[in-house]
Amino acid sequence: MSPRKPGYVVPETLAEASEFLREHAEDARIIAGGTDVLVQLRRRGRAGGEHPRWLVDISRIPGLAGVSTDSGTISIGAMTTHEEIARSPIIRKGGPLLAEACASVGSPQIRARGTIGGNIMNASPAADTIAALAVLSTRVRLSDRMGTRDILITDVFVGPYKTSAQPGEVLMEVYFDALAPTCGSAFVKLGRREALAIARLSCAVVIERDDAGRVTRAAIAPGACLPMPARVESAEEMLVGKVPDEAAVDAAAREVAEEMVRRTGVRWSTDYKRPAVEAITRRAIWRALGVNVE
Amino acid sequence: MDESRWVGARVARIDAEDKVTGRLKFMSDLSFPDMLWGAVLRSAYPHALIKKIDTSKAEAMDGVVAVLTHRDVPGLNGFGIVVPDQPVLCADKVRYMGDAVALVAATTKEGAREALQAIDVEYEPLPVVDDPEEAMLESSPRVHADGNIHHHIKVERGDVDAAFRDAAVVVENTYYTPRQMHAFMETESGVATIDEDGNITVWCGSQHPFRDQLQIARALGMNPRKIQVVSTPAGGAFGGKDEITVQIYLALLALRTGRPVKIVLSREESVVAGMKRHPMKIRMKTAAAADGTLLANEVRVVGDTGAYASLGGPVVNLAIEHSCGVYRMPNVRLEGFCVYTNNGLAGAFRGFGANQVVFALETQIDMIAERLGMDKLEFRRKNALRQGDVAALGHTMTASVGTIATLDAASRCEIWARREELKAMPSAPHKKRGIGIATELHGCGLGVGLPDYGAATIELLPGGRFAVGVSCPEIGQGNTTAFAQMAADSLGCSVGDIVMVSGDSRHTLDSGTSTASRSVYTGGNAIRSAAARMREILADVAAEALGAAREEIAFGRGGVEVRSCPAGAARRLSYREIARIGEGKGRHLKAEGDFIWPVADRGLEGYFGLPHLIYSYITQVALVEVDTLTGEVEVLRAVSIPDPGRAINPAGIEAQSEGGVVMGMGYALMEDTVIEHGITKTPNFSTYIIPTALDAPEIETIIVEEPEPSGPFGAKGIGEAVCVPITPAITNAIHDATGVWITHIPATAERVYMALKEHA
Repeated sequence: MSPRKPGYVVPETLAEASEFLREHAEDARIIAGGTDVLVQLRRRGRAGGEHPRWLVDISRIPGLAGVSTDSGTISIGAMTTHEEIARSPIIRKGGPLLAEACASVGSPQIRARGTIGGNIMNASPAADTIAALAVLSTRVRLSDRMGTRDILITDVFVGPYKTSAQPGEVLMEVYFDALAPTCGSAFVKLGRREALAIARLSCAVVIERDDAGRVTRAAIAPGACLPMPARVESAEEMLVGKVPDEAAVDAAAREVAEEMVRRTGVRWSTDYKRPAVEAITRRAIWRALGVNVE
Repeated sequence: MDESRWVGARVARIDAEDKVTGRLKFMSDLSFPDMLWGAVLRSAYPHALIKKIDTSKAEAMDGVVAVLTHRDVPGLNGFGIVVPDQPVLCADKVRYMGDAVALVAATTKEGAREALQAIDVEYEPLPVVDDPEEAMLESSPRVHADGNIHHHIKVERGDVDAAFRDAAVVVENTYYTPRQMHAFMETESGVATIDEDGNITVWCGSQHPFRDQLQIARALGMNPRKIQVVSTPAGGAFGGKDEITVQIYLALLALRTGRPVKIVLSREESVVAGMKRHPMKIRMKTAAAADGTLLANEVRVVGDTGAYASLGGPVVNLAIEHSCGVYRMPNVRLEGFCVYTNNGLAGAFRGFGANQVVFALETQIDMIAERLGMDKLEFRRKNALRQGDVAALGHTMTASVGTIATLDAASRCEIWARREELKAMPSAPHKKRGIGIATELHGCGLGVGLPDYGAATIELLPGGRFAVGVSCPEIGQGNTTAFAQMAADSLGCSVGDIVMVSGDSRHTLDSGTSTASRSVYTGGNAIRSAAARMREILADVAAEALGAAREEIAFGRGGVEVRSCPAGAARRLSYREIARIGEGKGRHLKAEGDFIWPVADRGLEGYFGLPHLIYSYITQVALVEVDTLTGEVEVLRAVSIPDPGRAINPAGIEAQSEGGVVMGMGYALMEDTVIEHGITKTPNFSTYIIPTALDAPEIETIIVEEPEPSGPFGAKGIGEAVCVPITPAITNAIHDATGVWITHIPATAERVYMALKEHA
């Protein structure tokens, strides 16, 4: 028998949502844009698996949508769509690589429905925004009716499609420090085609340099190739303190590829992924340095 | 008459308004009062014996109106265009995951799907046959009792061994091609209704309503006259709706329940159960003399036809016919096998066996030209067949031959003429650009030994417009617009005065399939035949009404006049007036026309369909950029140079050409239905990757016309050729860019990267 359709609840407040989610911990699932949840429900239905009993639509909870900025901090409500982020002047100025990442998601239809909160909480290793958020040192705000906790984006994930959020917790917003004008950044994605492509590999990079051109801060996060999203600090360190030249960039890119292999082990796809990750990381670093090597 | 006022003009599609306003319905939009939803229980194993089927639980469910199994098929429990070896509903054995085991009709879609899960089928799994070459071994488990080699073709001419011995260059390679999916917009879907007299109407996506009618009638054990099949122009087909899809299921359920029944396959079900392009392994050995004259070609093709025959035999036959392409090839040894496996189903698909072998051959041609240091275009020109030459299969090329004209146009197109310059300007240092060319001929029509005929009706309607009926369905390719243009010029009226009737087995005469690049040529000739008769009828009526001799009647725009009459005199009748006169006399002004395809001067004993007489020709050129660090290939520009004989509608040909280029590009770079151990791993568009609008290159279409005297207004078919040589044009361009030969498509980023690494 195919499972019956889940019930649909539309709480008006966070407290209401949180209460319901806590009460139905294993049986409830938050739905935002629905671009992942609906596909998963359909797939599960076909496989004869169990649907969640409840879908909790959080779109009416106040304060979850939109991009704002306050004394150098950019906040993005969880219900903000990829399209809004990609077009936001605030993001394009203070976190342009995130705008690039959001613009690379799926298709116009998916970007108009899918939300940043959903992209994070679905916790797909191939999510387009997460690597970008990671190099922006983004923090996410999880709230329930008891209170609020803020954690680093990379601490959200405990495994593929698994997060550290507790039952009843709702992702409210994400925030990060706007990049200084002296910062360069880039997001590079390798898909199987130009649109509607799930990332096979991606790389996000932020680099800040001093007046002498020396790197003062580097953040590098590959996407879609690690079991859990993370920055590769060993590669970042290879750039910090240097005026980056070809050798330094090559070394950092190679380190990202090696780190991937260390974390995933050698698989059938490694022969291709290792050089490909290296290539797109190198490309992302150079672009962050203002050199377009497309 | 027959002046080209409409033929050759860029006439807007006659169905454009219906399409953009949504008036034209998809099958999934159709609804009838009291309609039931049908669903198909597919096999649980790629290869298994059925021990028991118990439908009692499903039958007892609320809302379930009927559950059918093989026991409920009144007529022949089988279908198939050539041999009916595919069970309508499997009785004792399943041979692929798409095999149908039971049908359900229920009051809701969800109810029908739930009922499927309540049907108990006991299977005894059998070993899965998934490698065509292993399947050919005597020791292999048999998919069908007669063995796994469904069809074998062997053609030999000249002295191949001597030619290889004496040749200056011999290249030999093995090529692999993927299981491409038609990826039509609407899945196999339809609705069947039944009236109180038991007449059944099936609305569906179909490429030959009359053959569907026959196959349905055979399975139902019913008089075909009681069955009407109406094809929809929405949803697309590309060959994937040539064979029976859901028609028999619909008719069976309507017959059993007495109610309208609708089936819409989900995309996943369509991917698993539906037709695909034959994956082929092609061994090709080609020889040339030092002066660049091609001497010999030895070809061995193994095609994976999956669980049932459908058109697998003819596909492999056409692969053999097209394996020497446009070239003079005096010595050939060509062998093809069509092999059963448990890998889905393969059959008709735009290109019909040519795509695979033309990819192989055009790569071989580039290799030889390069070995000899010859220009690739010149090498092709030197060896191309001319009218009057004897082709590889031994028949004479008597019809129009357009290779040279398309190559000439290619030599002048910008990306070929400026290729060195364009190559030298990649967009990044790690990227490399290349330009590739490929050419082919493509057989039009069904070939020697198969009934290949056309028929058309023309009726003068009361308002003075003409209803023109041609059964070859409109499936999106635009043939009804071309038909209307040809009818307008044949009758001396405007396209707006033509009402096309298409794809309906009750309201048209059988004019065969919309496949095999045949419908414009066939339908057009039948329309011309019908129009000539219609004009005689009109002249009769007019002569009588005007009191003139029949010879005095001349046709002008929108009507007739008496020839000798001075200008301005009232001895003229419009078609509207003739219609009124006919009506007054109770005369039904209707004419029928017919047409039989001409065939080649000699056939090939035992291999029906071979060879063809009339071919369309095409050369395509691609400019690509290869990312040497990731292996990604981007097609920047493509030039497509078809020879349609005569372009009935240049805008329609451009649209076909652009669609064909993108389809052939997907074949070259991304598309493959992956089946492992009989299980489809790419069951949806998230995993089966086709090009999007953003992947499409800038495409220029240059139409070259080499009129075909036997064709209507000089036309021949172009619907398939447009998607064929672009594939090797792209892979040859990858070679031009990087030095790597692509012998295994799709040339995904991984494959290209690995090839680059090996090459370095």
